[in-house]
Amino acid sequence: MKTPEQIAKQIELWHQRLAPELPDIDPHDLDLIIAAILRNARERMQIMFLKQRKDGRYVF
Amino acid sequence: MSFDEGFLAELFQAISEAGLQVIIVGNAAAVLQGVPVLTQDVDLMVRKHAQLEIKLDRFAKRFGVILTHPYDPVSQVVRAVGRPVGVDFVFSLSSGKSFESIRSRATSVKIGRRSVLVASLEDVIAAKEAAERPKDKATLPILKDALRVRNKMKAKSRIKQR
Repeated sequence: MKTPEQIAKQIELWHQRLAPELPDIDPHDLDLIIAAILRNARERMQIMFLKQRKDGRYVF
Repeated sequence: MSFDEGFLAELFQAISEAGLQVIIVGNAAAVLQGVPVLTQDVDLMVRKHAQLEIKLDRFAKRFGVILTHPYDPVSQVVRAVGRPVGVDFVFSLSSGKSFESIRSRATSVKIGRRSVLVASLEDVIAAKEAAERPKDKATLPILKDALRVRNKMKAKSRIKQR
């Protein structure tokens, strides 16, 4: 299990390597994508569905 | 185990017990491959065969849902209703690719105790491009960006390993 500091460092390193080659991708989007790709399958399943409550509001 | 993981584990337990062969397609397939999106349902591609209706009925009983045909006859979708997250069974994708073709490029993901097939990101994008619905068009930019980022990361990881 990686610490939050290790995860942040890894995202930052990948961002530095990829951003010059993908200038059309918004930097915030790039961070989100890198973070999502670095997660394992189990972590990706933690927040996946948007669910509608009985009162009509959505939660996840 | 999160609610979402537990839901998927229960879903694929019921699918396995019913003897159905499925591939996860749509946004759920994208999430499982690291695209930062959310979805309201699980889309499953299933191959048509003689025993399919019996197996779907068996699935419905085990999973505690009823099966509806919401877009019949325009589109052949079987929707499982009755759980917090919807499940749609589809027999074809807008891209026109066959079950066998999608399966040949699919990846395997462990959900609960089972390995489940997940359509490749390229196939998810191709289906959404062909569908041309506003909600599909809305997710295409992030899907395509994620595919490019993933491919770059893979290429750079390979170079580093050499």
